[in-house]
Amino acid sequence: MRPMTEEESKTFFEKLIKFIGKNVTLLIQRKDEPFCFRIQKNKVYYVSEELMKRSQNIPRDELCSLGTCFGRFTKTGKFKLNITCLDYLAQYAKYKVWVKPSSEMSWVYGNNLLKAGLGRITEDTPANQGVVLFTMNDVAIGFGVTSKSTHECRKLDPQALVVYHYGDVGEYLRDEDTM
Amino acid sequence: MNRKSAVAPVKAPTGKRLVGAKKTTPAPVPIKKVATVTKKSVAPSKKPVIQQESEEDDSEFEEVSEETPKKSKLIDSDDEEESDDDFNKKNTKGFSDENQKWLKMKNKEDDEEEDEDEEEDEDEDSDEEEEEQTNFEIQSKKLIAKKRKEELENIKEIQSDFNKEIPEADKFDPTQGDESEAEDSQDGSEGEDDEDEDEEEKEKKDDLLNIDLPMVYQRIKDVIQTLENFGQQRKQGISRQTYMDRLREDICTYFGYSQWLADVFLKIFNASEALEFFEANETHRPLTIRANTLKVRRKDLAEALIARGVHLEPIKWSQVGLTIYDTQVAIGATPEYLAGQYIQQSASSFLPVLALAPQPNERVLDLCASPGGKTTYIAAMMKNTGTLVANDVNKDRIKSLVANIHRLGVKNCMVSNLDGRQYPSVLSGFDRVLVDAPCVGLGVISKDPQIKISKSEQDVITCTHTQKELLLKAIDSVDAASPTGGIIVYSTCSLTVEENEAVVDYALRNRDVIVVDTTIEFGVDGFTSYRESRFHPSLSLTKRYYPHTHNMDGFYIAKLKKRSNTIPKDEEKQQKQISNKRKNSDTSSSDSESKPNKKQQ
Repeated sequence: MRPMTEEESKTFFEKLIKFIGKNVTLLIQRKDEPFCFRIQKNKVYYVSEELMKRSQNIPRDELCSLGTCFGRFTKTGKFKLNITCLDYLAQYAKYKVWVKPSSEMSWVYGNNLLKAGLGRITEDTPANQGVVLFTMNDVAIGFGVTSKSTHECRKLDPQALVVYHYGDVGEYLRDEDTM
Repeated sequence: MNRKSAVAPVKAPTGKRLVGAKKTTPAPVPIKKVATVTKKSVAPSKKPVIQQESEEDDSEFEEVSEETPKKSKLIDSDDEEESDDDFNKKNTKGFSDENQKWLKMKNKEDDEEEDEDEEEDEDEDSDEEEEEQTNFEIQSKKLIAKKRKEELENIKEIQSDFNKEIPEADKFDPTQGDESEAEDSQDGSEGEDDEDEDEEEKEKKDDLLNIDLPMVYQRIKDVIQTLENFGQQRKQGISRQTYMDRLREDICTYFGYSQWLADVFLKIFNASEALEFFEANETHRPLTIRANTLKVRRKDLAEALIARGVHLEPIKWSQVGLTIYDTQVAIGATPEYLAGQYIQQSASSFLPVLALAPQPNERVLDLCASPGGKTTYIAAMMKNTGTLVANDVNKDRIKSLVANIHRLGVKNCMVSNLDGRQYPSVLSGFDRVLVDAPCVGLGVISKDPQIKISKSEQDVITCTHTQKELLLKAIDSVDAASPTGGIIVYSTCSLTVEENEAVVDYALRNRDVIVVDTTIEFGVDGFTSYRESRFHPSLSLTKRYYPHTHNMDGFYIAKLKKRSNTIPKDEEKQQKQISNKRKNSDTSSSDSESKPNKKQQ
């Protein structure tokens, strides 16, 4: 377990900013308790400093998880956000998309979101913007990237793509082994 | 006469067709009559032609050649359909002879009819012999008839075998006296001769396939009734042990337990309770879920699930549990589930966490955590504060643990993949520790019926050893000076006394801990004495849960409080020896021990 290098933090935060914008600072400077990001076996964990200190007692190979996993660095040095960080993304998301009940399951099975399943969308969402998806009951079910801006969405036909799939809660079942 | 007899054999096959092929049409009959009139003159000349046809189709079957002469008459009347029907019929007949076993039962009636028909055929054929049929045909028909008779006899024999057994069983069954007499005679003979025993075993093996289960069940009930009122209902001269042996054997037969396992349960429960227990293991426990209070309130979750067509009811003794009665959607794949609003968790595994009662901002260790039901419950009770350490030995099970922890939004937790016995040396000073020890799993037989036969006494011994080590290490990991805690909860999903009370008793003797009340209102008190072993009286504060009394998986929970961090070792033994010599009272010596300990802290 170690802190991120400068390069890694750059890639990491660039990715994170796509989804939560300037709210990233709120993650780092918390009022209640100091939190930090740590890398363990290529995965980035967001963890309270107290827990981080305690976990240093546990041998590196045997430490499987601590705090919340945000994602992992690929071998090529890119950063991939994991669905496990959805709680924080949902909390700080700038742009949100609400999914109609009929399309919930489709999304949860890893498909892209079509116009037909689009229930609501934050005003002024630009194209290619990271968004967090909710059910109409405000339960977060994943995150993705918009293909069209809010304005363009209005004119689209029902079969057109609106949000590219990035991560969904179905991964808890599908990809349990790699969490 | 001659004419009639000539008509009859032709009719006979049509009759067969009625039963066998079910394709008859009323029309052919008159035509045949016509045909038979012309037959005598025409038949011989046509015969070879039709034989060729039939040979093309079914040359393998003898019967084809047998019956063709008759058919020839039919086909004289120029109906292709009829000839088809006849071939079908022939085919079925061919099968019925070659593959007797298949068709016996279905065609039993048919066979009989056919037999009759054939007898007629034979008679009539004998009249016509000279004209139409060869010796081969007659012989083959006779053979067939013989075969059929043999079959029928076989069937009758088999049936009579069944019938014989049932009356025997009845003799055994209905009244207590007869049955126990029978037992007595059996047991007596066992005692006398080993040879008899062997023979009986062989018989048993032979009879295994023919056991009359309802009868066995009735006998179980009868024996239990007798046992409950032993003085009055017993047969003279039969020991209780004989009854118990019979009961155990019947239970093994009826429910499919190994002898050892049935014995274990008969020792824990009295006879009638044991039966209830065995029966409860045959049915599944209700499906329960736990609302994740980190994300949702139980009431809101219930509403959301009801909207999805789930029938549920809150668990009365729990703030967060819901029982699912009926569901139209997969309960493990709803968006609510995936979003971590609830987790599927058996009702019994709520209890150790309730007993542990973790408080916010504490340091808690879950020594055997996978798959995370209890761990996440602990985190929810701590409201995501403090430090929670989840540990599990099994690397594969760790995956589900990590996934569940993240899905339910637990943020104060770290997961380690260590042997629990490494713990106090890796990390210690916890306020509370939960040891949900690996066990033989005798409480969850309804989930995994394999346990009935796969587990043995050796498994219990190895498990017990691990459990004792784990519990001692868990106690060592706790800081007795903790202002809020110093609590250890030991739980298993097994029911043997060796895995439960004996382990806690061992801990009481080897560490400075006391048993405290679990704070759970229901449950059966733990044993303080079990057969030859005597445990510390405070073990009555521990709780047992049974499938038949509480409708949840069998479970055992003990809550311990640590009094001091010192490990009583040889010194204490020496002191005990001294104290024994001096014959001092126990209280004074224990007081003198505990006081210096506190100073050391």
